[in-house]
Amino acid sequence: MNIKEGKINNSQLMFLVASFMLGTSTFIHFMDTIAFHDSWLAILTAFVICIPFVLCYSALAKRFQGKDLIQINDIIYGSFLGKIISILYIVYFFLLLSLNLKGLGDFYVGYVMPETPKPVFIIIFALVCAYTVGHGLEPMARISHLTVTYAIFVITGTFLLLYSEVDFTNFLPIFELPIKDFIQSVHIVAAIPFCEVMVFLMVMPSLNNFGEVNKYMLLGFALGALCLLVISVRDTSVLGTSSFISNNAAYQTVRIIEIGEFFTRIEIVVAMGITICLFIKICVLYYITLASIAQLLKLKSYKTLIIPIGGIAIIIAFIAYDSIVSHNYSAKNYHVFYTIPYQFIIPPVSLLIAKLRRLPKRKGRELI
Amino acid sequence: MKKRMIILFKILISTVILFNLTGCWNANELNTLPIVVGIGIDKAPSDEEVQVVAQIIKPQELQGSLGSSDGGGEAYWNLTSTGETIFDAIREMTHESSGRLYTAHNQIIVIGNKIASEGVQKYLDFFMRAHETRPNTLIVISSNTSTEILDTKPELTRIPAESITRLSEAQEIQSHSKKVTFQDFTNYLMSKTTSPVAPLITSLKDKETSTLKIEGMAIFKGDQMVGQLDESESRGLLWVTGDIKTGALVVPYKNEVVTLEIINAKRKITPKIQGDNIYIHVEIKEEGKIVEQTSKENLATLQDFEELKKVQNEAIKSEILSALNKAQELNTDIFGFGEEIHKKYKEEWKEISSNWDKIFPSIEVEIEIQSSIDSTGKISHPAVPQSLE
Repeated sequence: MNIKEGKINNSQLMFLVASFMLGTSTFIHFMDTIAFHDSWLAILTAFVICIPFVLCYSALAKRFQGKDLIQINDIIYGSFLGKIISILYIVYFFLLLSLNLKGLGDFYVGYVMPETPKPVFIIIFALVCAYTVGHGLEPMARISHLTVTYAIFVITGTFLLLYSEVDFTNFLPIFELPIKDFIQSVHIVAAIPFCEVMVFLMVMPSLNNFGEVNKYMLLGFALGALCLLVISVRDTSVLGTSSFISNNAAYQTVRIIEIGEFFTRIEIVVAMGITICLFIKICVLYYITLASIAQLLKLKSYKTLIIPIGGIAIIIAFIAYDSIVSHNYSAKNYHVFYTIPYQFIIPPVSLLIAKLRRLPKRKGRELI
Repeated sequence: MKKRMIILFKILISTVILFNLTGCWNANELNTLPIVVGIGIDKAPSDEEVQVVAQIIKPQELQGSLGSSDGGGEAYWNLTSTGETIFDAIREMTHESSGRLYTAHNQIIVIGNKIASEGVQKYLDFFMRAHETRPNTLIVISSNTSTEILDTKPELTRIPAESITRLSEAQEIQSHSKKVTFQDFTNYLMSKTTSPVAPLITSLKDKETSTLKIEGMAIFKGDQMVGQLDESESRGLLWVTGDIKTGALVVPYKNEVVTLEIINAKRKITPKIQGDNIYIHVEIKEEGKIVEQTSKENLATLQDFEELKKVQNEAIKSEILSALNKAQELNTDIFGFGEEIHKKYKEEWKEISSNWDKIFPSIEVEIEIQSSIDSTGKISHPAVPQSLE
């Protein structure tokens, strides 16, 4: 039985990963309040630390070709323990979906259309995502080329336009941070935008060729990380210390652009970039949640789940936190620890067990 | 039949949606929108409250500005209101204005003298939070009240706020003051040691004419205004902060004066810590050209150029020293020396930053100036009878 429709190729995977990571760019600014001008260093360190984990995810997918995370859990941990782990994963995916929907609403209400009620954005956006997810993985994968191209265009374009405002001495003195704060900020970057790519364990089974999955997964990861690094460098070098009190430094930075008196107020271009990258991210999360539930319940298709799961996700997005302060507080202090087992413990342990037990075994042409 | 019903149903739904979801949630039509171009902040007469002046443009009056000489009334309307806080006062304005004030096109924030001496941070907090404020909004300090500044009818433009904006942008021509944006000011306020500066504006009024003048800069300690720099002191500051664009430098030479135009200036600040002593080394590279001379003598000789360079160095140095003396006297680190030390000596910084108020007044600043004169304009000799020797 295969509930997953459509196949994607390696380069689509790469752009999907990069686009997925870029979708998080708006949500990690609270990291600046810990790392200050050493944010770029935290991003770089987190990147290096995360490389082995990302390789571990792709190695797992390569080893169990065509099997998704839920099936892998069943094979490795047996049907009972495997199911429990799978349920925990589904809760995690679902939470990410809701929180990202909420993040989108917060961004729109905070910066783009401040007087419109948040539910309007969340519901409309969720509807568009539901429509996309209903068409399967292929359309998302295809447009991710476009979203990443657009994001790179916006990032380099704004950097060039802001060139006269850039002051690299804003990064001095390098590494002023107490080591404890540095570790905390590295952990935040590793857990929130970087190792969230772990969810691609549900996407990678749809690849049509597993030969170079490691390479393309890593390339996509590096592309996404590079974009986040450039955004961080741009914001700190342009805004200086005031970027640390800003709730959305990227948006504030672009507001500075003023060429002549007419080429100004182009921040909506950034808002569009954030929106389309978030769109990919939410679609991927939506798809993953549905696919994993369908796989767990052994449904023939996940399509019947689109409306109910979407509805619950929207409700959770409404009631998740009562303020941006509690959202940031919990992201900083709880969420990053909550994700540790899903990102940093279970996948490597799975890979280790698979290696020791020489899994998966073959029975004819089937992997079991 | 069933298919046709479905199509009809779809058309019906689309029509209903078409008429119900036609526009934006909070659409603002341009003709009903009071567009604010300048905001002034003052102490209210009662001294307890804050008074806010919003300069709103009247588009219908602006149309006449090109054709007829008098387009009727003034093209702006200054709306004054008081409240406990800025936001309170701005919202109180709706009692008088016909709509919510639209501040996204606000170009300038004028801060009254009393507010500046009391402390500006709490009054700027609203503007930092409000999503409509642009980081490029300019900040100027009024030598009196901000109402007076925003009431001064300008000669060249029809809106005072616009004329103040152009005025503060024009400061780079003489480099006697510089424009300070909201973004700059936020960064100043967030620095532990750097003292904020902002251009100081006065209204010169007599019976017939009224003009606005930017004279020097206001100095803040923390967020409170404690003094001001006059024009040459301001330029002294700009030499060190690297904000000099161009300007006239009048230097005495052989009992006459020579006017040099600053073409290009660069600076480099290097802090040094030796034992317990802190030195700041300021290196300035300047390029100038002769634009005017009063003597009849030919100055376009190698020897005179060498001498002029020395005089030029002295002139720059004296400007810097005057600013430095003023800053040390007021104990305000307007140059950002503290941040320079921070960037280079992060270990020592913790101790230095807590004692900065004691260190700064007696800090030793070495000024090294390398200037050059590269041309004499269109003529080399002054227009006097030349002797053919």
